[in-house]
Amino acid sequence: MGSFLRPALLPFVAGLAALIFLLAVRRFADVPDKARHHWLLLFGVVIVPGVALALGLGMGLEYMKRPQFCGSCHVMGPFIADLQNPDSSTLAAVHYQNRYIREHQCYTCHADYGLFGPLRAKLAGVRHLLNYETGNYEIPIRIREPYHETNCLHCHGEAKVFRDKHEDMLEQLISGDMSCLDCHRPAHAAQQARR
Amino acid sequence: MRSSRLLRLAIGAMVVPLVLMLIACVVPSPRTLGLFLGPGMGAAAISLVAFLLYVLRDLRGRGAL
Repeated sequence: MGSFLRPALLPFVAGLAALIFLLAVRRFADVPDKARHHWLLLFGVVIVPGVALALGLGMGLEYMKRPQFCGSCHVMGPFIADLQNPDSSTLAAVHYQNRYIREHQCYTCHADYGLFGPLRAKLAGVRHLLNYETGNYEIPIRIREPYHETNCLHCHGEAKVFRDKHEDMLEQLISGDMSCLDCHRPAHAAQQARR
Repeated sequence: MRSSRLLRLAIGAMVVPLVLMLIACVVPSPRTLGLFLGPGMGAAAISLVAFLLYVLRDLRGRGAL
């Protein structure tokens, strides 16, 4: 919680202030109408809570990008353990331990790029949460659809060392006829079969 | 629904996301954040609609609409 508390401090203070303000303007529902009450109600019920909720929403969406968040569901435990295992040679562990991706490692690879990529990732996150809470999943968990190679190419595609080594297969990678994982597997460690 | 009831509904519904947000700030987890971003934001939307109806009724009562 410690590392989280600092980014959550502003939304927390704003939320607390908005709640106190909201409860303070509550009494205007029971007293005769006055013009200045309207402004207080507008600020107390809509604007101040709206600003606080926007801060909270930003905080929540930011927190959801962290590997700690992904790892807070126990089914993700083996994946997070593998990321941090110094003996692991999986693609995810190599990227994580060499800091090829500095932060939001799960999200960076598993959210598609493009206009709707983040939105699709958020919707997938909601589905994951519902499936997890209702127990509607099977072990070993599997990726829902084939991994999009364009996510790898977003970082690697323009690198000289990549271009030099992959020039003859670049079109196949872009078209999806060939997967990065055909040569660079496994992406993650194998999972234990337990719920 | 009387205007004051709409206002109470708007206030009551706005309390929900704020409380859930405070909980999510203190104890961040998929469950608390899911409650805040799901039912919490839904309650915020209800609050906004109720407040909008309250304003429209008020304006209509004054003959401004």
